[in-house]
Amino acid sequence: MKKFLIPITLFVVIGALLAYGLRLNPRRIPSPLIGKPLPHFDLPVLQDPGKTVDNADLRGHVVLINLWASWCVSCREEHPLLVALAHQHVVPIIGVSYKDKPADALAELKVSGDPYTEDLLDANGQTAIDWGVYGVPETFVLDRNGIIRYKQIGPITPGAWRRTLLPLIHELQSQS
Amino acid sequence: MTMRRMLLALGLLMLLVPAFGAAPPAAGGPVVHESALTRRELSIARTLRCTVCQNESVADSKAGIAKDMRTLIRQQLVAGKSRKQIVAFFVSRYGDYILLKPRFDLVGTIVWVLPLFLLAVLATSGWLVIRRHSRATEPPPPQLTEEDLARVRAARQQD
Amino acid sequence: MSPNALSLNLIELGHFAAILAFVLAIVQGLTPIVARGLHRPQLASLTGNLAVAVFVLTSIGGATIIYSFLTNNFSVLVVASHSNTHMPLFYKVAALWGGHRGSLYLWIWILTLFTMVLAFDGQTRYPERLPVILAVQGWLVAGFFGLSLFLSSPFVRLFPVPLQGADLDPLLQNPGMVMHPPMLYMGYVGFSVPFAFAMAALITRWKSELWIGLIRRWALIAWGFLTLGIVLGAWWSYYVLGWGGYWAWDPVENASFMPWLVGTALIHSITVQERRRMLHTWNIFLVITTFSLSLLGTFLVRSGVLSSVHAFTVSPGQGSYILAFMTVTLAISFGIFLARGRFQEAEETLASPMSRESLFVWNNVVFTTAAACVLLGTLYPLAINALNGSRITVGPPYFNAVMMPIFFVMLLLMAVGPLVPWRKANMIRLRARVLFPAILGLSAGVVMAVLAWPVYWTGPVAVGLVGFVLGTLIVDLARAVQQRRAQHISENVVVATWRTVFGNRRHYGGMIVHLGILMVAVGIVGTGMFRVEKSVVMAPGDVVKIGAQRLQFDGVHDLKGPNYTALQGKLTSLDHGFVLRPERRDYGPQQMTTTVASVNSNLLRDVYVVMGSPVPGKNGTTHYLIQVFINPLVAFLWMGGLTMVFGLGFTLSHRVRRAARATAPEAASAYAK
Repeated sequence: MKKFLIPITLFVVIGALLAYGLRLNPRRIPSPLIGKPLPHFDLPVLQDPGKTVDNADLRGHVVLINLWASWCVSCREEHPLLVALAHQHVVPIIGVSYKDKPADALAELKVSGDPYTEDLLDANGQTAIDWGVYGVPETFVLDRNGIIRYKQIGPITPGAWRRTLLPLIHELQSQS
Repeated sequence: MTMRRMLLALGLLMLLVPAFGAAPPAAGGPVVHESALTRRELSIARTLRCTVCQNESVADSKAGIAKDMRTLIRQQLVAGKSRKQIVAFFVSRYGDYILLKPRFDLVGTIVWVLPLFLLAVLATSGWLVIRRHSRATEPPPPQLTEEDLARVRAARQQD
Repeated sequence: MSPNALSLNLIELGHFAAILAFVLAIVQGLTPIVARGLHRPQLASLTGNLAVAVFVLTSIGGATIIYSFLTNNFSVLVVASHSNTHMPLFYKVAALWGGHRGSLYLWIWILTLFTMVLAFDGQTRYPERLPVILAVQGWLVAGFFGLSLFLSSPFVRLFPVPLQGADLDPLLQNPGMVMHPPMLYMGYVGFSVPFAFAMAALITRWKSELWIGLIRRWALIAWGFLTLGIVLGAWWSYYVLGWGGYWAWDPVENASFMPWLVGTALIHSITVQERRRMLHTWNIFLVITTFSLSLLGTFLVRSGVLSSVHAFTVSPGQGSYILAFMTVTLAISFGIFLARGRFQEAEETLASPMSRESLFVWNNVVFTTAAACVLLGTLYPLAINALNGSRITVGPPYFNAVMMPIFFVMLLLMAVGPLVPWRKANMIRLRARVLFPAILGLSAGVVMAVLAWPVYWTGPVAVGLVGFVLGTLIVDLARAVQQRRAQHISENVVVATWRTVFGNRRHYGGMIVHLGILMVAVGIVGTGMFRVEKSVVMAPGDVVKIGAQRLQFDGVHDLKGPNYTALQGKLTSLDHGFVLRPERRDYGPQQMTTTVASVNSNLLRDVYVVMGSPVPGKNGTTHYLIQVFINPLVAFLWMGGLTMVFGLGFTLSHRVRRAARATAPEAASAYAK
């Protein structure tokens, strides 16, 4: 009967693996862009499509870039938090509305408040792919040199803000 | 019987086949061709994983982001990028996760080699089982008595 | 009183019945232990009555849920989230298994059904062991009921009651999808019966010679349902998902394929034990493993560990529960196996390495290797994530590359196996038998290579092997018919063939299953190697030429279905006159657009059309993205699947007749020992 111990041990290993797997989120996928500069972008401003914003405009500040959409349900979850942050002036937040109609996005901002220092539009979603985005909402933390330090996949929860994002932002801001 | 049944089934199914060339070939409008670009676009898209739908390729998925990714592949092809460059671009943005076929790096090679290892282990155990069982000799067949032989002969004659 | 108010009460009644069933299942599990403890063995026979009661109560619960669906009782969560008033009646019933709550209930329902059938089956044939077998089943029922009632209850109510329900996922509103889960569950659950037998045998020291024949039929039935479920799933994927393929090596697909592979090994090695009294412990191990893989499949689908198109969205805690249940079940069963398995070891010897029994050993090696490789590919990304946190994908290209050679070896064994006699093969005679199939296979391979040149090496090899197997099937039958005619000179060929086949249904049923597998192999080769695909942007009046087909796009029009609106395109074949109508459907509530492929099938090829999104064209016209596939020989996949199930039925029909005549005295003598 001893020979059967080998496959049975294998089953135990698989069981342990599955138990570990239960604690992981299959949708949480680390971005290879962390520690690298944010890929080049040049996006029109929502309120004034003639004007554009690119990487150079963000240099020198620690910023959050928040991708959202008016059709996205979980974006509404994090929206109040963003509005509150904007009131506290912790960090400038750049909003990029992803594959949205400008009118819809503006209407949504009017209703729920506009926490963004700049409102940009990625109408065809190509910039988002260049940034390695899976879906909205996603939030990048950029340091003063335009390097991606962190990416939040999914809505920013108050816990994630307190534990991860805020300390990181303070640390980055303290660096010159 | 199995053959007959199959032939019968084939025959019946053939009846369901619309008769070849029954309708006269009709003249039609202008023929549109699949561009070489589309073919290359899809062939690259087939090796990439659609990131939101989790288990479909970018070519097969109906999700919005897959469509956007195909557009991007097309744009890069138009810009003169090679297949390698385009795939490398997607890996630089999404990581190895986007490759449907694991790469032959350290992590990827293991998964390609392990099946051979599994086969080796299982085949060895199969061989051991067979060898172990055949080592023991079979007991000699019981001797037939003259009585039995007579009975067999009688039975054969009856048949 | 409105029907809604009435069903308000009914669903609570159903809930109560389900709780009662849960409690009785535990009692069923405890009864033989109590009977033994009290030294009152006659008490144990209560398990049979309990099995019936559990089934009846579960059915009452299930019936009330279905009734809630039929009466649009949106105060029931599952109804509100998977049904609405516009849904056709057919899908309202099927919506029961449209979500994880209802489908788990269906799983349990089927398990209680199997348990009840087992109770009736065993009443006269193996009454002494029946209580323990039913107790094992009782614990399984209780375990799943616990999950259903405490973590994933289909009886949960909603307040306030919504006026309208959400829709059933449009992808699931398809006849193939309606039948696929019940068939698959019948397969998964069916393997619990051999498992219960094995457990009871180990616990009560029941020699496996005495019961292996009893589980053979159960294993075959489970295997047949699993086959049917997998084929239906592929069929659904092909017609509904609209990507022109039928098998994507998705974790959930793999989850059903692994028990199938090990189950296939099992049904072959059971035969070895029956005929040659070998592999006793190995068979018990296979029985436990097959059922473990069924449980693993349930876990993968319902835990959210692996992301998949088919996985259910789940409530937290469910994964942990199933894993804990699985761990306990396996720990107990393998523990008993290690402690008591030795008792079952009583083996005959192999006369020769070139014998049917040793080829069956190789069959087992190949099938378990296949299952292990699928398991490896499915869980490897998880393992890498656990070890170093990085994420990789193991996708279809990997599985195709790894499984192809294994399938070839399977085909080879399938060709040689049936020709090699038990005990010891006479090599000279064997060579003569293999000659014709080998020539047939070789020429098929060569013809294929020449006609379809240039072609990847797997094509000719696969076709050659298919020819080889076909040849051996013919030789096998021809030889048997010849022998029969030598004995019964008066019979003509047809009568002799008929009587040969019907005289040994068990063997020829198996051969029909093999023929079905050949047909599936033909379908896989055809679609895998010779598929043509084109993706073009078309305006009305345009023609696309693919293979020998010219299809003209005639434009689109709006269409109203029972619970959706659709844009239907029309393409006419200029060469053969058939019309294809691909659709883009919009089901209101969830605002989700689905594409419905349109297919023109014949035996040799499918013309498969998918209509994509509108593309604005020049001067204001609307163009459409049209994807056309020519999928050769797809029909063989479905025919092969049906042939396999038919062959299985043929094998089983033999068994039923003999059982009716011979079991009573057989059983009596068995228990007398």
